[in-house]
Amino acid sequence: MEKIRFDKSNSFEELVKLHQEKVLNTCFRFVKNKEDAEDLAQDVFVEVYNHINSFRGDAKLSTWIYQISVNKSLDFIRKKKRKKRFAFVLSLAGFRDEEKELQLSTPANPHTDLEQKERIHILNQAINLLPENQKVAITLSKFEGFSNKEITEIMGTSVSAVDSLLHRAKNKLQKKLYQFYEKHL
Amino acid sequence: MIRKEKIEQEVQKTLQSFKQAERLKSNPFFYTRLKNRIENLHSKKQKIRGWEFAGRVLKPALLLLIIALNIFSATLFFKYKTQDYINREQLLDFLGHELTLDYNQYNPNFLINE
Repeated sequence: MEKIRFDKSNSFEELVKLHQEKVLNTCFRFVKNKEDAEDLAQDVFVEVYNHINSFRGDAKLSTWIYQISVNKSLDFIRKKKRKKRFAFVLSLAGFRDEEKELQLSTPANPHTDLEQKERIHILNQAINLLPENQKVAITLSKFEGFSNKEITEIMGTSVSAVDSLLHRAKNKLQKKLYQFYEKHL
Repeated sequence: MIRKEKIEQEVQKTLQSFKQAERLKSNPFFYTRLKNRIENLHSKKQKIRGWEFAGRVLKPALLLLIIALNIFSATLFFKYKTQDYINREQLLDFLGHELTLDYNQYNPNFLINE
């Protein structure tokens, strides 16, 4: 029993080391905050550890891990939105939330060109305006470089549905960005 | 026309910036933190399991005990209730036995006879 546990923990360590960066970045693309992304990545691997025995093996293990990452990130965003709505209702009712969230975009690379940073910021904002499934598809495809087949497995849809989601997402992004630059250029 | 081209150029540049988006490097203590978290969760789970086991055994035992007590008190109740109300003779007979009265006292008509 001890041997099995030892083996499990050894292979689990390898598994974590292999996927931690991609899981972290996948979560970061959705939550846009380093600390939250790290916490979520930890949650993802805790779930993987707890449910590894129930993994059916229909898909690749990595796909399953990224599926958990996406689901956890989306749940986190939904909870955050709910909290925001509740705080708004409270503020309307006269209860003020003293603790405001600090929203600073801290770049990982300070040498990144300012213009480029601004473009990425605008792009992120435009992606946030997309419907949830389009947002997931374009984030996984463009930021994390997943293939359409992998996205199909992560999202649990068909290849044609992913193709269509990506196509619509790109068109919508283009439209939103055009409208934005029309106003601000 | 020039403005439109400029906007389109900017849109394309923005769309191409997917690849330049910052990538996070994972914390070197990520696995250590994760391991600690899993161990903590595991020990908490074991404690909860202990309580669950106690609950699983104690709850039915307590329930059975309550049911048994109820059945016992119900049988006692009905037993004496039927004995009480069959007729006056039987009641006196029962009381006589319970209180171990002598024959004269046990005879329900001893006072009348005198």
